Amino acid sequence: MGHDGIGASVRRKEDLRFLNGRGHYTDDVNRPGQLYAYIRRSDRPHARLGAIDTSAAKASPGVVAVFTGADMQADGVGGLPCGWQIHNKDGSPMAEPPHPVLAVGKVRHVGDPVAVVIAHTRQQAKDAA
Amino acid sequence: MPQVSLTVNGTQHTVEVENRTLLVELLREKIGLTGTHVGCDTSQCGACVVHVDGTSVKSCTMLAVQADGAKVTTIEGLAAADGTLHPMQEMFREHHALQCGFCTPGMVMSAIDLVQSHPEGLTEHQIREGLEGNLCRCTGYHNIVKAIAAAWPLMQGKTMPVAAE
Ligand code: FES
Ligand code: FES
Repeated sequence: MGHDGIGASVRRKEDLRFLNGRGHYTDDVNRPGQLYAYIRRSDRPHARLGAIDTSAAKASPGVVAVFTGADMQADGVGGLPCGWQIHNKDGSPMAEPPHPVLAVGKVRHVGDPVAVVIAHTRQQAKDAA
Repeated sequence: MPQVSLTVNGTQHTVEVENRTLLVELLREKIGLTGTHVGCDTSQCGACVVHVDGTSVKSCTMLAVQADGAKVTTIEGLAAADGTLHPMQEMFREHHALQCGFCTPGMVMSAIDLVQSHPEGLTEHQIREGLEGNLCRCTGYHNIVKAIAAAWPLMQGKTMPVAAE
């Protein structure tokens, strides 16, 4: 393989910052007054959701807000869309089951998001969740 | 709240922490060194590896209070003040041992400890085994292994003995 021009191995510009720990990933962002979200997830593989009582979480220190699937629906927050729509052989659109950001009515796997707590620190959000 | 005094990359810090604060939280949130990453929080991925008194440690699995009095080195502390890279960083760069860079700080810190603790030489097999605690989702490991083998003679100051598999 040639050592210059086409086929040459070229050093990447971005490697230097990655190698020095100066990359800037989403979790590295730290703005003044930033809040933290912590997601409470299902510990059941398949279960109906009863009424979710968020009052204790809301009263927990540092908590700013608590949202459930019902809140998302009431606010018109849609589900996670499928990024690649394909058609069936007969041309009809593919079946796209709803995928709410927070579970509504039922959880379908361990780890299914049930509620989200927003607080001033990560620890406060975690404690309340 | 307990106080922790430790040296990070040569600078002395005294920080108030909770009992449950992890070393990685202290480094990222209290000292602002975000080069050390959290990929899993459960001791699997190795993105959080730092050196504590010269030995590689998964900082998501050590309490901040356990590091009281320790000397900690993170990825930010490897290059010289004039910007000269550590040989391991240089070889990672040279051999294209990174893509997105998320695993890289932990990889480099683990790799340095691996080379330092094997002055007798390292086989490819040993390097691969030594990296068991570090996951990379981008590179396929091949170039990481090459970079570590290339850094060994630079760090040990001698040619790599032909080690038997
Ligand atoms: S964050 Fe420590 S091992 Fe993954
Ligand atoms: S370079 Fe992306 S995870 Fe290793």
